[in-house]
Amino acid sequence: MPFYKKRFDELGLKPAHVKSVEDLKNLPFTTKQDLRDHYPFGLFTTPMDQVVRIHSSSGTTGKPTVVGYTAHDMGVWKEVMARTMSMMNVGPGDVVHNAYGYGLFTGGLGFHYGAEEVGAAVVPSSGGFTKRQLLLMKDFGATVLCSTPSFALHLAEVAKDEGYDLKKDFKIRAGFFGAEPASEGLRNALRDAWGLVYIEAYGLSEIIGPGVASGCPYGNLHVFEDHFIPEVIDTETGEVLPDGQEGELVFTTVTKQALPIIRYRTKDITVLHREPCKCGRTITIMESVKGRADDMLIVNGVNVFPSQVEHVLTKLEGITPNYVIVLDKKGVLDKLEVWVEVDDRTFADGIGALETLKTKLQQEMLNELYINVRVKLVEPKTLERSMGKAKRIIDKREAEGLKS
Amino acid sequence: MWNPIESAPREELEQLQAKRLRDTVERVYHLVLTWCRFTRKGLMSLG
Amino acid sequence: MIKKYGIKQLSIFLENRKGRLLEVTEALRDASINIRALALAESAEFGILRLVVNNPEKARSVLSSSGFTLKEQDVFAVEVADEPGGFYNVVRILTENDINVDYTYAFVGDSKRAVLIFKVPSDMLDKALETLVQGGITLVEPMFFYD
Repeated sequence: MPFYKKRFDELGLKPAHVKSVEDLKNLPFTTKQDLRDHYPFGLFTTPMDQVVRIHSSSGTTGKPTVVGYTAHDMGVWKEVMARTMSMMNVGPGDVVHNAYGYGLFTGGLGFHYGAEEVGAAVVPSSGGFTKRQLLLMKDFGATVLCSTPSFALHLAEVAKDEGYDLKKDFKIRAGFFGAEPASEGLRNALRDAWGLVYIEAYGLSEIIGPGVASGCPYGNLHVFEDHFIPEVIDTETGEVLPDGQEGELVFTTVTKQALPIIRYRTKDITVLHREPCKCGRTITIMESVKGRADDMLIVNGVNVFPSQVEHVLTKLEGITPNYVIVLDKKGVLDKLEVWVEVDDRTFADGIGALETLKTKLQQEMLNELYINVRVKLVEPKTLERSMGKAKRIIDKREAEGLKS
Repeated sequence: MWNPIESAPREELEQLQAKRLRDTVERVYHLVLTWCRFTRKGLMSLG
Repeated sequence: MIKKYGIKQLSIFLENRKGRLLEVTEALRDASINIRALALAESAEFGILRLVVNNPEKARSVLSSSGFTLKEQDVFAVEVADEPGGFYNVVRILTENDINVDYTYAFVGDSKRAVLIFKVPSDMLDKALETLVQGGITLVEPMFFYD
């Protein structure tokens, strides 16, 4: 039996009970765990021969989250990304430098399609190779930058070191920044460094990718709710909260075919407002995400769950050593370290054996998390000694962020 | 603005949402036949 | 053979952190344990301290309760003349018998004799001891190190 029919039947719901948006609150929630339980294509509602694109992002453990698009869905995605680009009238004549990662993540291709849709020239540079990116941005006359905010700041800092004059040598007028939270300090630093208008981009692959909501030049984040209906709920009770109250953001897609999703719990904490904006838009405004209802971490725009780290460690010879996840900044970019305690079970008497263990763990982490992780082998109780108490996650970035 | 719906009166937007929501609910609830076909086909193609 | 010539060696995992070596040696001193031979292997981030002490049982319990990660293994010691070729003779015999040496380090002896400690894979230890005895090498009994 299809997933949703079963859920509806359990609650005694029939499609006929849904007449207006008001009735949404009676429908069951969908979670990341549901996607995992139906890995890979179990929640798709079209035959596979209609699916033209498959993306995947991190799951909580072991299996990634898989999303699919029909040609129609790709049209929806292009449309919402074109609307995002239109926030700054990006169009023919603009050169869009797209430094979001291309590949399985939705970031790179989402912005790519949006920029093409509005008729701009796209430079699909993807991540990394900072100095080369700067050269291309200057020589190609990029007018728009798409990247994570921290990478945009990294670009600015490297540009200064390389002797560029940011405002003279570059023509960036707008930046579309998302995939990770950004403090007001960081936003201002980007505005000052590049002389650009900061546009916040919000999205998640389970809903469509980037393009779920976009900032306007007045700084309000508008939800494209003719495609994705937002609600904010009390995380504990699941009850819908009125506008202006902080809670967990939930989306229902209403135009997608391959993977429609009913009341998907994003775990993002925010507030909704429905007053018209100075920019003329009447669609719902969501505040920038304030935090998470779970323990998900965002590392250079990539979502990481601590359970994934644990999964890798457990897979290794069936033992779970004690570990701690340490997040810190290297320059302006995030770095993730996993400190693994070497105990009597894992201690092989040989530098080579320990180096091999370390390398193997780093490779497995890259495989599971899609990002580079530095593994550090430490003595037991190192963290309790250096941090004072037993904690699984040490995020040193927060204190840094406040300073900016 | 790329699509005028972004600045439409809310009643108009909500009417559109309601219609699309009903379609989506129908889609996810009623896809039994398509599903069975897909599953059989899927199983066969997967061996 | 292992019973007769096997010597208990303690390997201790150490982070490359200031004062850590001091803490190990301090714990041993406080327990009145004498270090008879030692070697320190290191990488950029961590090290392994290998010790032969006069009372391995006691050292093990003292270090373990101080929170150190350690491993106890059998090694063996040979006595060779302190002259050119002394070390060579031992290595030659082991090599000819396809016995791989994991690592080796020297114990400070007197001016005429040198004592060398060898670690070979545990499944080859017995064979190593037998071939060395047959080859006329003098093996050092554990009592030489222990109290």
